[in-house]
Amino acid sequence: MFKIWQRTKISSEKIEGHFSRELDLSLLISSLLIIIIGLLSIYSSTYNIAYLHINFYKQLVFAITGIFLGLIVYNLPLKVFNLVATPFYLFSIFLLIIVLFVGKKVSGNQNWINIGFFSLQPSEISKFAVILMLASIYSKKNFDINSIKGFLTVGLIVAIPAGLIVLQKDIGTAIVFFSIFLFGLFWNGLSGFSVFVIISPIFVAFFSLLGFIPLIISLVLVIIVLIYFKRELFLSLGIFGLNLSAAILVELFIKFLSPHQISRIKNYLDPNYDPLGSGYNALQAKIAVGSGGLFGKGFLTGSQTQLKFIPEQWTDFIFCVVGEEFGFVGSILVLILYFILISRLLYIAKNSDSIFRSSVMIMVISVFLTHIFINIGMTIGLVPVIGIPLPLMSYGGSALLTNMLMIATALNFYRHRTSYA
Amino acid sequence: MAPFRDLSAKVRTNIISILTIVIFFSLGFRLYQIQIIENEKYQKTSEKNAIKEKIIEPYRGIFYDRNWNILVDNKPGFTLRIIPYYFDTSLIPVLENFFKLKQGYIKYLLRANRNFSPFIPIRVQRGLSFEQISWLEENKEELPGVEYVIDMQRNYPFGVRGSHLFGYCKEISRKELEEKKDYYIAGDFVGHNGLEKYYEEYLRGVKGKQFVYVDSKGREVGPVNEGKNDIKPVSGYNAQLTIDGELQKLAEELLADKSGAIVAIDPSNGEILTLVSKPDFDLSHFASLTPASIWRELNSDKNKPLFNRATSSIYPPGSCFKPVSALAALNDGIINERYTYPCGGGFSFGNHFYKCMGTHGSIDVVHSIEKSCNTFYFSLILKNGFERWTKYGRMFGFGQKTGIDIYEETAGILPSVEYYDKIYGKGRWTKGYIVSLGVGQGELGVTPLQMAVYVSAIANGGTLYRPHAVRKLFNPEANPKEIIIPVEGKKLPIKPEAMELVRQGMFLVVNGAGTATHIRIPGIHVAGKTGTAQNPHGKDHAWFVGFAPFENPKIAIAVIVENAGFGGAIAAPIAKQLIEFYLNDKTKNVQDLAANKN
Repeated sequence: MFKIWQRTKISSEKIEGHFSRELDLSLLISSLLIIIIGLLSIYSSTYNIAYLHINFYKQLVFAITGIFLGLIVYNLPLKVFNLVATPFYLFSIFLLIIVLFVGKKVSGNQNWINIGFFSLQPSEISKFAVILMLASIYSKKNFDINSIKGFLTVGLIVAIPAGLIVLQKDIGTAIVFFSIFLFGLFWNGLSGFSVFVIISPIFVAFFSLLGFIPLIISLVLVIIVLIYFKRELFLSLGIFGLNLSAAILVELFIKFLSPHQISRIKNYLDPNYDPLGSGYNALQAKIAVGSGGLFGKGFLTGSQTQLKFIPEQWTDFIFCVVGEEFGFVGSILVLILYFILISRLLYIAKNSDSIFRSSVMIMVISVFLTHIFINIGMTIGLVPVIGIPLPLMSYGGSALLTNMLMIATALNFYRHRTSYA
Repeated sequence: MAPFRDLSAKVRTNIISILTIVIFFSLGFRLYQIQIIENEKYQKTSEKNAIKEKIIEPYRGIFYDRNWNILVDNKPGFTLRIIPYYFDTSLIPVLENFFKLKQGYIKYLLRANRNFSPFIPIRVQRGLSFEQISWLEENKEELPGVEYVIDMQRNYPFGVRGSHLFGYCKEISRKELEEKKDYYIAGDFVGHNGLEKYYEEYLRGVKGKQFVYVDSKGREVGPVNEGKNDIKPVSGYNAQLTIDGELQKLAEELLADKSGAIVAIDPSNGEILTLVSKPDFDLSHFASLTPASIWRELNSDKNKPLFNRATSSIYPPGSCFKPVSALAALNDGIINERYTYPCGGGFSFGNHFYKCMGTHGSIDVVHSIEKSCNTFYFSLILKNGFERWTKYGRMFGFGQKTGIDIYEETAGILPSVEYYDKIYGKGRWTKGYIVSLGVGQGELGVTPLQMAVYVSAIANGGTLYRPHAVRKLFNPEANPKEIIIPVEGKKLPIKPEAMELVRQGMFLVVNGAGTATHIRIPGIHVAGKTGTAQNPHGKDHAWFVGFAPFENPKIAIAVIVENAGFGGAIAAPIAKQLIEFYLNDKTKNVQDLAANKN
């Protein structure tokens, strides 16, 4: 299906010493290009404002640091990843608890630890920690994904950090954790029916937000799928009940959301709701990208970007800069680079000969895919505004370093794709 | 490979592949939709209907005096601005010529602001005339990026200068902007010193926001949603000062052609009635953008008009400090009222002879103040001991900041054993070094404000109040509506008998056979003390501190006139006029009120 996957022939014989066979150049180059485009976009969106422009240089320093750390990770022996999984996981939980007490608030979310020269964002680091921890669990010999015990273990490992992150009011990252959870389970053999049981309430809940008729349609779809699976009547009824209660819970849940999250949801459902308040960013972002046209307005000359219509554009709305200043051509180029990146990750996942490594890769894919879909989606009005960064592009040291280390890990696994660990 | 149950590994890989393709395809398709198909629509919106936040400046709080006269308010003025992005640099000579700006000034401004967004307007000149406005209007089309706006400038309607007291507002400095970028933006005016700075947070108010449509060139097209989303600015707090405007005006006139300072305080609560420092400067020059020439002139003037002498200049207090020594000795029982010391025209210590102004014979403490006998105090500081002297000096607020609501304040110097150890070295100074401190000379350095606070404490029988120039801040739009500046004072551990003897002495200075008998006011008992501050650089400075009425003090005052010689001659008459004006004016007002009632 993907030609690009077949570029390097998979073989079980030992490949040694040959540079191009050891190094996944497509993955490396696409990642570096994305980082460079990100830096250019940060440069442009902070251009002319002295105290913001320093963000560009900070990001540059982070990128260079990331390359050095990446080199270390790239050269680590394979067994290290499995060994550090548990301590790394516990450490990230510790950081997530710390941040609740000493964290500083940034635009409604409280998820930074200030350590002098650098604000650490534990929620970013914890993504990779959870991935390694889960992969380590999956790779245990007696682990059974379809057993209650196995399922609960995996659930707990994700729920602890995800819960702490929800306490920081960072819904975006919590969604990413759910995606990690789901991809890992799916990849490691959770039955199709179970996947359906997990996903269907979410769809029903989402449709219930859209109105009564979409809700009915979604419930009918659930019934059709239940009939297709032909399970026991009571089980089927129970699952239907689960879906129904999900829809009801959503209405209750809305009451617990902070006002800015509610208005984001309302705004997504009705783009003209409060165009100057919560809808402002979404509207201005869409105008920025839409007005870019085929070739864009040119570097440093996008009026939306340069007139600073989109607040904090260099973080979550970085894609606007690409859309406005480099146009459709630039936007598609970025999409293609991300697509190559994910394809290579999937190739490595498919061709890793250990459950641990293949699980790590599939969960890294889930992180990238979720971030890319939600971030670019919200910029162009496809999904509601959920504040998560665009991998390798958005301003932010913790996220950039974590993402670069994930890529370095992938390159390491690629190099070792024939050895047995 | 992972263990697979009902779905094979290949199927699962394919499902993830398909999901990936679907996600990227939907993103790509959506981009195609808005960037290619709907591009024209967004292009137009971006050009015509971009929404821009405009900041509406709040109204800066105004200053009333204690009798509700307006001392400082705002008046509208026209300001010339340029927006670098649209500005054509070939217009520079035309503008500089017409607005009589220094050559190269606009270029300098553009360079100074090159790190900020070129869409942020730069103020070039404030206070434009109507002629200049009409010229701008006529030539609007030929002047891209040149505009004028109406903004508020400080105005001083009462005729009080108050240069150092009020302070002025100035464009925010880069450093300050870095520190407070959550509220201020480049080009904002902030209180730069005096009360304007101290109460900046209250006076400034809260900026409002106006949402307007702008075209792709940043030009305003119209209000968004009929202005319904606009946020109204909140005016700043107005301040009622403790200053008496009339008295302040008179004090400024009396000191007009001199160098020095006057501070008058209400001894019952520390409220500052008058605070003058001379030479000063005209605050109205600072209301608009201050021309560089005025800055240069003020900064290079050797008389330092920008310097607040009342709070930041230190002088030896001279004989005005004698009551501190007297109080220390009386309060700790070192001497009593019957104690006398023989004055034979001076005091011998070591191989040095310290001269007195006269030969006072056997003199007691009350008369030592009246006659300002140096011999008595040369001996008394040795009797008291250095530590005790320092302790009582500190008690009356010397050597430390008074805590006035003006940041420009100096602590002064109150010598102590540690201080001498530090500057001369331990054991390398002798008792002889402290003798001249006994008459308020030597290293001792005090500010006129400290002197006024100290004499207030004597006037009110021993309570040291924190001096303050603002009584309350009020703003009906804000919450809280009113902020009362608290009266803070501490009762000093001085025995009433000791205090009474010193007050007696100060009473006799004016009403007995003392050093300031020429400033008696019919019907009002003034008490005080003259002093001469030795000045190694020229003629001595003249001090007078005092309070009145003696029986129930309403005003305490400290006057210093630089290079005026003996304190009684110049400083005391100024104090007299102010006391007379303040108290008679007050009585007159009360009489007027009574007359109106009848």
